[in-house]
Amino acid sequence: MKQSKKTFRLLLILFVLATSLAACKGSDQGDKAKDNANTAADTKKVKVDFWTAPNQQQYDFWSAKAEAFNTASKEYEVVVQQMPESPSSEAGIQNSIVTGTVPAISENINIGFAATLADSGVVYDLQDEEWFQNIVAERAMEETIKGWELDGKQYVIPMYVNPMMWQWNTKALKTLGFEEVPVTMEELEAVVAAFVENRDTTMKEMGVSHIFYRPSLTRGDQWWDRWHDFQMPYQAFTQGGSLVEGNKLTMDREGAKEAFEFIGMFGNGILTTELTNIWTDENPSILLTVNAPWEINLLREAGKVYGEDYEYGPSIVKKEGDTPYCFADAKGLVVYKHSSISEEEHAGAVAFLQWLFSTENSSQTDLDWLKATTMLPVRGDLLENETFDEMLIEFPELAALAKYIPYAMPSMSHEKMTDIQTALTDQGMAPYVQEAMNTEPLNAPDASAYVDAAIAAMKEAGGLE
Amino acid sequence: MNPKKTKKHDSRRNVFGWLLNTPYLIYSLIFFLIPLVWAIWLSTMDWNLMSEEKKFVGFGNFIRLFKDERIFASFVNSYRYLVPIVLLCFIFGLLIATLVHHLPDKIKGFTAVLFFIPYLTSGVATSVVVKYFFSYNSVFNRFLRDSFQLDIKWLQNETVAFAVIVGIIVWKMSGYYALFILSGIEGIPEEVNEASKLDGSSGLHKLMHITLPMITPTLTTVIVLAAGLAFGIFTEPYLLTGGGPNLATTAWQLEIYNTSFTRFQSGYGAAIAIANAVQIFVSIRLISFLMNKLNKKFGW
Amino acid sequence: MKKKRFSLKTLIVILVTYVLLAISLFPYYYMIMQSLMPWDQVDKRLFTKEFTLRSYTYLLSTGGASNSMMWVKALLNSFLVSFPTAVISVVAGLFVGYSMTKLKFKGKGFIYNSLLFQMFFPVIILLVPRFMLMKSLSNSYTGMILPMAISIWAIFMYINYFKTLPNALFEAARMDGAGDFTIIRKIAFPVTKSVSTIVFLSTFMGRWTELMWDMLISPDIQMQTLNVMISTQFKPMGNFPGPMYAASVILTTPIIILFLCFSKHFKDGISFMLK
Repeated sequence: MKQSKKTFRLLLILFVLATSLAACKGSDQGDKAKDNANTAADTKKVKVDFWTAPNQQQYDFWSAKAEAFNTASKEYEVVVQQMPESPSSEAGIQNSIVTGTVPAISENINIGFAATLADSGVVYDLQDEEWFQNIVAERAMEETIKGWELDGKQYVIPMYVNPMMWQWNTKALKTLGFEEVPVTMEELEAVVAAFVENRDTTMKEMGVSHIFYRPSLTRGDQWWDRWHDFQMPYQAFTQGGSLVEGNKLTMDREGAKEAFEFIGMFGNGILTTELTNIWTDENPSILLTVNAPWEINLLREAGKVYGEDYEYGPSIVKKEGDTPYCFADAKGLVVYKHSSISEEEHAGAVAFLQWLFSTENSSQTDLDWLKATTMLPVRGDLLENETFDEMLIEFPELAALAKYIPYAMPSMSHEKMTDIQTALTDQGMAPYVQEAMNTEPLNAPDASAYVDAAIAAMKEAGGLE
Repeated sequence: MNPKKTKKHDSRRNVFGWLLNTPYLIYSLIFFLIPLVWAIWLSTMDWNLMSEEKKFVGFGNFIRLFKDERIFASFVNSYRYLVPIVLLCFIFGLLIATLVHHLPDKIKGFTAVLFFIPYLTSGVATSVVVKYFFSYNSVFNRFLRDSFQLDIKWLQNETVAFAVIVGIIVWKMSGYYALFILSGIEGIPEEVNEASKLDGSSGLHKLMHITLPMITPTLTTVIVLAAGLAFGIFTEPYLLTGGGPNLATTAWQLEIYNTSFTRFQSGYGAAIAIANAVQIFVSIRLISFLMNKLNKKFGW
Repeated sequence: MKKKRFSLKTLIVILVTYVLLAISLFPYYYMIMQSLMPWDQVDKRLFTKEFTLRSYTYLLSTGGASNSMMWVKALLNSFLVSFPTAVISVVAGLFVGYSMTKLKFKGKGFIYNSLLFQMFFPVIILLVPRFMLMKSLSNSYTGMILPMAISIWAIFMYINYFKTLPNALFEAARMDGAGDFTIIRKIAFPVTKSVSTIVFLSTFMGRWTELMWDMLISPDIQMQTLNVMISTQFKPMGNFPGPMYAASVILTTPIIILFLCFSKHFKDGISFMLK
């Protein structure tokens, strides 16, 4: 009997050890509201969870801002964390809403996803808040903010806008005999023709094997990339046409066909096989990609010079004189509404936002942002406000981008945006690109059938008319 | 014997029996029974997990299955995966086992263990290596282009991408199945080998007529396991191809995950899962049935 | 005479075997080599003489101030989740396996049928409801451990093994007046050592390499397992292949070491699995 007791204890210990090891972390992460109350009692500060985009620069920027705020604030402590990307940051946020681990604020929300969140009633409407109107006034966003309206309400505090443009391999362009980046279709076709001609000679020597690099063209699960590679030419060809308005698919069939064939024109010059270090490589193996302004610092570190190694070109238009409309990669902050977020935490979130964009701080916040991320802050006075002058002179690449902000069009704001763009890729872009990649450049196959299939699928996916 | 004592003894034994099973029973209730009922209920709903509203749609989700090309692709792909994976795992498993079997005893165990290592590797680590190894400017692709003018779109071409994923799984599992087959071969009684030698049977003939029939029960295990594996593919397409290009590499688990947790159509996701479960159940039963017939033929 | 024939044939066999082995282990060579390459040579060469630990030190420094140890934390999380899961699987499996084969009690048939039913039941059906059920345990070790703590496969491993053991072994102990738990500890546990090794290693490995469930239940960066962290950093860190290789090496090594330590027991277990 003594033996059996001893054994029982042994097994019990194993069990308890295993399960308590499991539970110990569980309990302290489990109930956030309680957690907050406890810390409040200890340190008299309410914790405010803040999620940043899943990248280092943005995380560093927000950490620094939160630290400054925490030192100044007696009531609140902003806790900064990167949002999980599983498999997209959107899915990560939806997961956190379901599980009640949602933060009080997060950045990295575009207008389309804000529509999804608003539709589920998990973000605050900021339209009638005085502090929100103050932020708008402080950053001279009265005009811009109209583009962020959803059913007459405002949910997002815009943070940055990247006009999506083309990024050219300047050395290759010059080798092909072009001093300027192409602007119209005619000019682009000349560049492509020159590339085809020199593909096996000078281009090969330079290591430039393809015209256009875009690995996600054939991947429906990377639907967000259609904003850049499809919507940019679409906007330019339709002169600012829309895709979805309200519950109606307004995508122009002809414009979509032209946008498809624009990519199809690159033919077997399209590279969809993954490349690493595309632009930091000593000899980039492509002629152009969609631009990535967030990589400006990375490129500088790698010793790349804007205007020598690479440069930005506007969205290609049909004929001279057309406006180079492009896509606005624009994201901002939202304030979440959820039962797991206490009143105090919400108040803290608002206090943090007020502090960030107060009269004394707002320019500095945006300047620090620009320095940290090289993405243009959403401000009506970006080019007039002298705070930013120095930075824009030091970074001609940013000045080049800033010029195109007025032509940048936002994404669709439909709550089923994900499904709609997935359908566009799966039924339209992906199979079309597969076919186009078998042709020589400048012989884009007819995209009508693919566009029609995409239109049908997009209507079905979004329940659109 | 005192009947009262026996009774007491019985009840004590009952208590002890149930006590030992308590963890399992609690687990089954919480993680099996409740979710099972819930899954069936969920499959009749249209619900995004987030909002308060849940809409009852009856069989709507199941009807939708039949029109969904992703589901059709998953269904077809599960068999497209199954056949080459089972065949190749079997061939390589048998090859490794036969080779190891003929090694000197001293290095036999050690070698078998080394072949087993790929089985221990996480699909995530494998995917990292495969993705970069096949990236456009990798040493391997440069070599192919420079020496053979070969420019293969490893993960972008439907056939090649599919082959890459099958390759990863066969690489991972062959050493594992080889261990099973090896045990089967080593278990063949010495008399059988001696007898075959007297008959002058050797090489392929011996393999087909002696070895394989002798180890059919092992093969049954291997094939059923490999089939289960083929139905459970997730990590590799999730990380490498996203199910594309053109749904060529998609798999049930990937569609269930994406539908439920990235498109947040939980009701439809549950319906897909039920369809998947029915298919797995029927297929595995069918395979077991066929293998049992084969076993009977060889007198097992 | 015998010896001569033996070595001639064996030489070819050894050669072929080890060529095949080299192919099979090549990805490990590649992974380790790339994790040690200078960053501008990653994926561009098969071999280098200028080894650097930069990829590994990068993992220690990335993530900024409060996240700086995120890769270390992830490795720790993997251990803290896998170890309890494996222990519970072994203990629960042993209990159920023993009770199903060596005990007579009311309701045994019911439990056995329930086991059989679950054995052939595809768990994928349960994914969404399990997630809803466990959502309050999001970002906790419990949420990752419990749903995988009991393995039906492990239970059947024990059942099948116990079936091969003579009842007399346990009866004798009972006659000697040994208590029920004593029998389990003194007899059942030691004699099933090889099965326990297999179950422990397999459940440990299964837990270590789990992806889908952990992504759902534990997305918080502080609470991700290493397996999940690599897969979520796959895209954002796409331009840093070196650190991704290094993380993969770190992910792979513990399992292989663990396995090599136990490989002797493991082989005994495997040969049993087939009987």
